Amino acid sequence: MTREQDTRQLFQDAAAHMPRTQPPLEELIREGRRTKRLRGTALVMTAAASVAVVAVGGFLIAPTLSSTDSLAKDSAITTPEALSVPPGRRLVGMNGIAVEVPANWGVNEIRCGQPTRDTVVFERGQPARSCFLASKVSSLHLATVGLRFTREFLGMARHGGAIEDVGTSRSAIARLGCGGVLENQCPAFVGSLVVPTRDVVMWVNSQDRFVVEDILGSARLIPQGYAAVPDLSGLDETAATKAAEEAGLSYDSQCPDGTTRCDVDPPIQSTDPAAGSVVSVDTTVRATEPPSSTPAESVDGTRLVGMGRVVVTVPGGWASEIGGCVDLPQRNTVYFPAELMLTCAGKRPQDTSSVRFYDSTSQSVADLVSQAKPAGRIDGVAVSRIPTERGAGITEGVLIVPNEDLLIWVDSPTPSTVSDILESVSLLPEGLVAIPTSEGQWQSTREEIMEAGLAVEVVEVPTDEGPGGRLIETRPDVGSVVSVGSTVSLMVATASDENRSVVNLFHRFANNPTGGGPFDTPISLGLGGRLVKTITTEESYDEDAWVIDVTDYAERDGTVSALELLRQSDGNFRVVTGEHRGCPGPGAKAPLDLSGGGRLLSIQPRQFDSCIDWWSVDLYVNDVQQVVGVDVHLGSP
Amino acid sequence: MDADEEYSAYVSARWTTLLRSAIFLGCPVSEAEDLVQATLVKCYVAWNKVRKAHDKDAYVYRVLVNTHTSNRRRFWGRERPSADLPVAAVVSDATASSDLSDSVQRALAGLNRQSRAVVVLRFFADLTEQQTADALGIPTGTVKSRLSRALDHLAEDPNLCDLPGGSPR
Repeated sequence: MTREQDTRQLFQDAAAHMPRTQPPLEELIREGRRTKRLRGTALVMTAAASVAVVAVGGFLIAPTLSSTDSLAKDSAITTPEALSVPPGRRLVGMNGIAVEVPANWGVNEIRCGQPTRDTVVFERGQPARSCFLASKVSSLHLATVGLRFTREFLGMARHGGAIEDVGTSRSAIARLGCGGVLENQCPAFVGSLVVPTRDVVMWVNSQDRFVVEDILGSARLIPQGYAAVPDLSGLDETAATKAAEEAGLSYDSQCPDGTTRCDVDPPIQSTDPAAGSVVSVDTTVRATEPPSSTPAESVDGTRLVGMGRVVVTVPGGWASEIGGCVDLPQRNTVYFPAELMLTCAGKRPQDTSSVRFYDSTSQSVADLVSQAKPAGRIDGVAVSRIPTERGAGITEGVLIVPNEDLLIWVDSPTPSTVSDILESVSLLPEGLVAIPTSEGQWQSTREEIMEAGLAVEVVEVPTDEGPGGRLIETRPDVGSVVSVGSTVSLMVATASDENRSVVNLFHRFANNPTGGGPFDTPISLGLGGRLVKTITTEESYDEDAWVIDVTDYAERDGTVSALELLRQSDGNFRVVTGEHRGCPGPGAKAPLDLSGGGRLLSIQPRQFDSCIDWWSVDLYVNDVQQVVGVDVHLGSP
Repeated sequence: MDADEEYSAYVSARWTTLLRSAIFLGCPVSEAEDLVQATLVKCYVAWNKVRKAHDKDAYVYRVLVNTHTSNRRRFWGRERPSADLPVAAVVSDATASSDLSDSVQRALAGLNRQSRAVVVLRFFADLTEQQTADALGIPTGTVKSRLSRALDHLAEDPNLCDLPGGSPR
């Protein structure tokens, strides 16, 4: 044998001991397609950037040669190599470690612990499950090793390394375990870097693995004479001064100009320079007001809230709620109830006020509307009022804007609050709109929001609590004032991973019935909550056994098959648990002969133009994850 | 066959060899799959070029080697690998290789990066001299000379000498 042959054999023998895996073909193709799309965008952006550079370049060349020279010298003095970043990126860091992020990323742009846009997040407490994030958002999280939840990242980081003489460990970039119907919503990749001696744990979530690689791969030590601005948000002036000094910086504890809020020592919201910025140690950090994200954030601590074009001014701290106990506000709240009815019984805390927005054409408020007397015009639009009533402890006031089909109800223990709010009614100028809602129904809320000229993004939030498919909240809050054309996120409750696996098995069965499905025989088949027939597991292999006649149901004709519906959806469906709504109108839970007492998982299309395209395949599942009943619902035109 | 089918067929046929090549090229087992996936995603994006290429394998291995190199460059520009984790609690790698593949990898680690790539592509991935040259962007003469030197080096490597029947001598 020749040396070449020996070497070949050696490789073969050695390779025989290596793990053998299957190629993730679907993922590769999906990732490839996505990268192609991103490349398209990137090319356009690069072209735009070069135009910008030419424009700026033209400006820079104009000064004399000597001034350009001194510019170059200055930058050489002020920017050590470790602080230089490519155009369009900036450094953020903590405890002496910095990484590069895109320059347009925000700082702590989170709600309920979840990033709302591409952002750097300084973690303090329990992190949100990444899978709950709004889609297409990337984020860099910075935390200290001591935080309890960082253990997960310490365990993942198994590859030793060093930046100069500082030990590091990093994880391989992993896919997050949130497949199934959530796949499109999930920042699919996570990677982490740990620097124990600097007490830093950082991780990046993104749908683009190269974003994760690029950020974590850019880690470096912050050179002597420089420091990262610590995150001072939420701290009072004393704690902020201490934190800044610990980082080697100083904190300017004077109040920001023109505010009186310093008198009450409010927690700091943001700083200049922003948290994470790498600055020289002689820099002074100042507290700033955060930039207002919507026109609703008014400067005097109040906010605008309303429905459609009509808004009122409420104090800034008031909450917005979809559903809830309208009669018993536990805190100052703006409600958007579907109709006037007693919602909850119990005790109302004495000092709470509320505003409710009703549709004035709703039958439930007809009595109130008939009592109203004309009360002049606001912004040229006629309004009517019911005289304010001062009851025992609570004052109630009602104002109706007939042309806008709106009834506003205010109640408060303080009469002046009622009159202040009702007198603040105004119409929004062209181009602005208040985010509308229908209580608890995300489908109709979606339609209303779109009719108001806004874009809608549905974000699924896995939960087994409460009825599935319900609208948990909107972002921004319902009632907030936003520009026409902006995007509103609807957070919709959907099923947890365990439930989803049953659905995935059923979906696979729909695509290939001969392969068998997760059934307990006999299987009850229903239409609109009515038992149509039962079939055995053997019969279930036969496609025809699943076909149901839909004549006289939902104003339709012909037949329907749960398997066909699933196949046509091409995997583009959502899963919700428990009772859900129909489209339109309330849903109905199937009787025992159909449901077999199993728990309900409903499969519904993710995208549909109107109720006529909507459907739901309701699976009733027993304790051992077997389907005992399948009930098909179709939307009515 | 449309492009996706052709791509799928190619990936299915080459996946295992690419994965193992990545490991022999010096990629940790845990990162090899990442590397090969990144390579194959790039190849998907440029599949038109791959299918038109004179030699598909040479093209794909070229992407693999380049991605491997740029990954190393990217990650290790400032951060260097080290044998020890700075934190004590480390979970052991369940996919620990056998003695033989350990020895082979240790021996390969004794070669420089270029020689290692030549040896892996030529003797493990079974590329021809011409394909190896195309994949690495070097003349065939260089492939031959590097191979010869690399084999000399491996023949002397103590990691391989002691293996029963495993020496390339």
